[in-house]
Amino acid sequence: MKKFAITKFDIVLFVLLIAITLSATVFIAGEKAEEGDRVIIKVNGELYGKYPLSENRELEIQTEYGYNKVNIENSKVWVSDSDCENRVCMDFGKAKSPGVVIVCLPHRLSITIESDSGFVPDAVIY
Amino acid sequence: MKKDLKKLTRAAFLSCLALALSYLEAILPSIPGVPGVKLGIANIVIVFAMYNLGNKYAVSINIVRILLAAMMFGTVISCFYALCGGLLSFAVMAVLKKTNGFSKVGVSMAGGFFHNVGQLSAAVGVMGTTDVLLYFPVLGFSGIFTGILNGVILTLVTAKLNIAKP
Repeated sequence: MKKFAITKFDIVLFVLLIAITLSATVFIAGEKAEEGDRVIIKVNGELYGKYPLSENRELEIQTEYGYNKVNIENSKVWVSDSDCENRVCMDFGKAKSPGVVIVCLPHRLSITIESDSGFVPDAVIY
Repeated sequence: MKKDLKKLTRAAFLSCLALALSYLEAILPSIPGVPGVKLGIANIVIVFAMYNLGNKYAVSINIVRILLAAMMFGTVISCFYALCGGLLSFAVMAVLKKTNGFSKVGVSMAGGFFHNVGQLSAAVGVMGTTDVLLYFPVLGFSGIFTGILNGVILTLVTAKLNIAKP
């Protein structure tokens, strides 16, 4: 450890940052354990559509920002195709519970899941 | 004047190095399971510059790196995200370094964490929804650990280099 000259402030900062991230994780983990009911798709912060997670479908989302193909199948949702430059949105995998988000930053597209039970705010005031 | 020239040459060299590392990271495939997470190895060069050339040079190198990376293999929007992450991260690192209470590993760790905080804040602004904050745990942890990793690499490299201050 001497080589790296770790100080007590380093340790305090490490614990602090871990605590912040961990509390956010715990807060979200409760929602991850739940079953989702509806898929909520937003483009540029505006609601694009709500779809039941129980119905299989394939959505072709073409907006001014670009194209994404979203699949809902067996109560899971994922992005299967995109014409964005990094295709990170396709790496998020399959989502099935509230507390998970799929994002396509270049296309300003976000996909979240809503649940009838549990804590799901209708609106958040800042 | 001679001293300035030496610093300027080093800054130019470090900008190239940081850009090359950015490019390396851009062509690496994303880590499965954690989309959008990157190692941030270019920050090794930025922190190195902070300690060896000072904040003014280091922030210039960082901005040059981000702008050139955007022109060569990025987009306007990726440039905006990179600037938000890079500048917030730099500001926090500069403050921590000034206190003299932190090691390079600590400074780099804070840099990694706040880089991701900056990018996530930018995403909230651009996307117009706080839904993206659900991704904070992944970005928070990855920022802390990649930051530590980069700090460790920097410390080891600096020890080997044993360079004279310009």
